[in-house]
Amino acid sequence: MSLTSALANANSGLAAATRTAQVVSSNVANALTEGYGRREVNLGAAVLGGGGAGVRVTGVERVVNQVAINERRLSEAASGAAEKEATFYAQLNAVLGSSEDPNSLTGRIAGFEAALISSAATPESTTQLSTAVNAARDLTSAFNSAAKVIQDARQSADQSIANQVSQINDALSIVADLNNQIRTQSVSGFDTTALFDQRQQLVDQISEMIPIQEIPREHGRIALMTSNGTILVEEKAAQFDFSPTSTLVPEMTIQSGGLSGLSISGSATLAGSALSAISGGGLAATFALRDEAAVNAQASLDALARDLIERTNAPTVDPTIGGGPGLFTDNGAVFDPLDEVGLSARLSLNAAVDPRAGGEIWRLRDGVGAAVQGPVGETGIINAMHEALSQNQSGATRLPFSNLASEYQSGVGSALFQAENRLTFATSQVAAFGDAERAFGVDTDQEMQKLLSIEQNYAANARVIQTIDEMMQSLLRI
Amino acid sequence: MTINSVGDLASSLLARRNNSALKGKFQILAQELSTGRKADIAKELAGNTSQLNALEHSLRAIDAYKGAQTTLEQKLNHAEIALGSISDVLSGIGTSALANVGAGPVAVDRAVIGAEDRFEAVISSLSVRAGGTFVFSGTSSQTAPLNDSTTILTALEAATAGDMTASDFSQSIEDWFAQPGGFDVVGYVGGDAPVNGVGVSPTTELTFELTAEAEEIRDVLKDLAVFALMEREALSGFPDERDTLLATAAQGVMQSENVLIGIRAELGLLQSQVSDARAENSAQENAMSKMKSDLVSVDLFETASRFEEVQLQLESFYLATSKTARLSLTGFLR
Repeated sequence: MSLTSALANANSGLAAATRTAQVVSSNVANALTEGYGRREVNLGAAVLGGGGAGVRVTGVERVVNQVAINERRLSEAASGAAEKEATFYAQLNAVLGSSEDPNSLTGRIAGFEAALISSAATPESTTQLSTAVNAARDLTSAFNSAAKVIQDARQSADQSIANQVSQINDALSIVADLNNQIRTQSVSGFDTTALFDQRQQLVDQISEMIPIQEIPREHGRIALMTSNGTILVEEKAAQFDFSPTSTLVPEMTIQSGGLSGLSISGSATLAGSALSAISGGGLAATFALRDEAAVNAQASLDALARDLIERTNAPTVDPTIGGGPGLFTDNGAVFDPLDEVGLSARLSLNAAVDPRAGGEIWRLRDGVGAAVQGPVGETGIINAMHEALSQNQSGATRLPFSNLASEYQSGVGSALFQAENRLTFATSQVAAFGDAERAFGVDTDQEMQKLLSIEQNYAANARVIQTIDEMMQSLLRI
Repeated sequence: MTINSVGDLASSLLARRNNSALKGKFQILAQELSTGRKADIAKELAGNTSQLNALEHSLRAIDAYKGAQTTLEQKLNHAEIALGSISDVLSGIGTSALANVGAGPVAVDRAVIGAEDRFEAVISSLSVRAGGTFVFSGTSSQTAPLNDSTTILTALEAATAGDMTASDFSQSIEDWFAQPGGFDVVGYVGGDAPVNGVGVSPTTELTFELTAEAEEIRDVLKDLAVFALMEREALSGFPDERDTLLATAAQGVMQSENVLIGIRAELGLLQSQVSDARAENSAQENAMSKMKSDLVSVDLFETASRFEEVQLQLESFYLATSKTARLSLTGFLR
C-alpha cells in the first residue's frame, strides 16, 4: 500500500504548498496595511497510525512584536494627552498674540498706555482721545476674546469627553465580542488571525485615549487593564458613564457640581476613582483641560482683568467715579470682588466714554462721571491713569500692569512650549516603537523568496504524483 | 533559523518621515535666510517671552513719549518766541520814557505815542498758538488767554475813572490786576486750574505752567496798560500827575524786562530738559532695539551654512531612496 500512501503524501504536500501560497499572497496584499500582523504557516509532519502521513498545516501564526505594540500604545496615550494640552495652549497663545504683534494682549496694553502718553501731551485733541478710547476698547476685547477661547476650549473638551467615552464603550464591547468569537473559533480549529487584526486595531483605538495593557488569556482571548490595575475587559466589557453639558459657563466646575464626572460600571476590578483609572491618556488629558488647565487660565485672566479694573477705578485716579464704575467695567456695572470668576469675559469699556454706546470721549479726560466737559487742557486723570497702570503700586508692591500681563502671556507660552516638547517626545517614541512593530511586518522580498520555494515545492510534489502515476500505469500494464 | 527582515511598511514610513523632517528644516532655514529673523521666536525663547514683551512695551512707550516731546517742544518754542517778541516790545520803552519825564506835557505825550498798539501787540503775542492750542491759556488750551486790548483798556478806564492823582491811578490799576473781578474776569479768560505735567520720558515729567495770568505777565501788562491809558489821555487835566505816572510806569517796565529775562531763563531750562529727555529716550531706544534684534535675529552666516548642510542631506536622502526603491526582488523575478 506504500504507493497509495506516497500519493497521499504528495497530495498533502500540494495542499500545504497551496495553503502557504495563499498566506503569502495575503501577506503581499497587506504589505502596506497598518495593523496587519504578518502570517506564517506552520508545517508539521502528519502522523497516522504511528507512521508518516505527509505534511500538514499545524496552524497559521500571526507574527507581531507584542512588546513593541504595548510600548507603542503607551506612548500613543502619552502623545494623545500631550496633544490635547498643546492644542489648548496653542489656541490660547494664538489669541493672546505674539510679543511683536500690536494686536496681542500685551501689544494692546502698550497701545493703550502709549495713547495715554500722547493724550497727556495733547489733551485737547479729540483724535488723540478717541485713539485712547479705541485702544481701551481694544484692550477689553483682547480680554474678551481670550476668555472666549478658554470657554470654547472647555466646552469642546466636555463634548470631546462625551465622544471619547462613546467610542471607548463601543470599542470595549466589540473587543469583548471578538474575544468570544476568537475563543469559539480557535477551539474549533479555525483561522482566527483576521479577528486578531481587527481586535488589535480596536485596542489601538482605545489606547490613544486610555493607556491600557493587553494581558493574554487562554484560547487567544485578551484582558485589557489600565495603568492602575482596573480591568476594562475580561469576560465582559466595562462601561463608562458621562453626561455632557450643553452650555458651559465659567462658573461651572467639577467642584461646583456643575459638570459631569466620569464613572465606570461593570469592571471586574476597579481600583481607585474612575479618573485615576484612566490617567495618562487623551481622555484624562481632556478632563484635566476642562477641570484644571482651562480653569486656571481663566482664573489668572480674571485676576488680570480685576487688577486692571482696580487700578483704573480708584478715586485717586478718577475723582468723578463716585460709587459708579470706572473706565473699565464688569459688563457696564461696578465690579464686585465676590464675582471675579468670568470677569475677563465680561470686561467692557464704560459706556459713558464710548461713542459707540452713546458716550463722550472727553470723559476719558474729564472723568467718567463728569456731567459737563471741563477745561480741554486738563490732564490730571489721564496722567493718573497712566501712572496707575505703569507704576509699581505702592503698598501692595504690585508690578506694572504690563508686566503682569506679560507674565500671563509668557506663562501660556511656556506651558505651550512644554506641552509641545512632551508631544514631540511622545510622537518620536510612537514612531520608534511603531518602527519596531512594523519591522516585523510584511517584507515583500522575503515573501517572494518564500513564493519561489513554494513554487519549487509544488512542482516537486506534482512531479512525485506524476512519477507515482507512471509507476501505477506500469503496474496496470502487467 | 530566524531571519531579521524589515517590513515594507516600516521602511516606507521611515522614508516618508525622514523626508518630511528634512523638508521642514529646509523650509524653516529658507524662511530665516530670507527674512533674517528667527522663524519661531517663542520657541527659541522656550515660550518665555516676558523679556521681549517688556522691550516691545518700552519701545511703544518711547515712541509715544517722542510725540509728547515734540508737542511740548513746539509749545516751549512758541512760548519762547512770544516772550522774545514781548521783550523786544519792552526794550527801550523804559529808558526813553524816563528821558521825557519832567520835560513838559508835550514830551510826556510824545513818550506814550504808540503805547496802545504796543499793548495790543503784547496781547496778541500772548495769544500765540502751537499746533492749534493756545500756549498761555493753561488748561483751557483752546481759548485765547486774554480778551482783546480794547476790552481790557475800556475796563481799566472804567476802573480808573475819577482818579485824580498818579498814586490813586496806579493803585486802581494795581487793584484791577490783582483783585478778583478785574483782570481774572475781564482780562484772562484761559484755564484757572493748575497745569499738570507732561510725561516726556519714562522717568521725566515736565510741567509748563506759565499762563497769561502769571504774576510776571500781569506786571508786564500792567505797566504797558498804564502807557496805553496815558495815550488815551488818562489824567489829562493833571500834567504833573501824568509826569509822575510816566516815571512810575517807566520804572515798572524796566523791572518787567528783568523779570521777563528770568522767565525766559526758566523756559530755556525746560527746553534743555526736553532735549535731555529726548537724548535719554534715543539712547534707550537704541539699546532696546539692539537687545530686541539680538533676541529675534538670526546669524545669517550660520543659517546659510546650515542651509547648505540640510540641502546636501536632502539630496543624499533622495539618492538613497531612489536606489533602495529599485532594490526589490519582485523587479528581478521576470
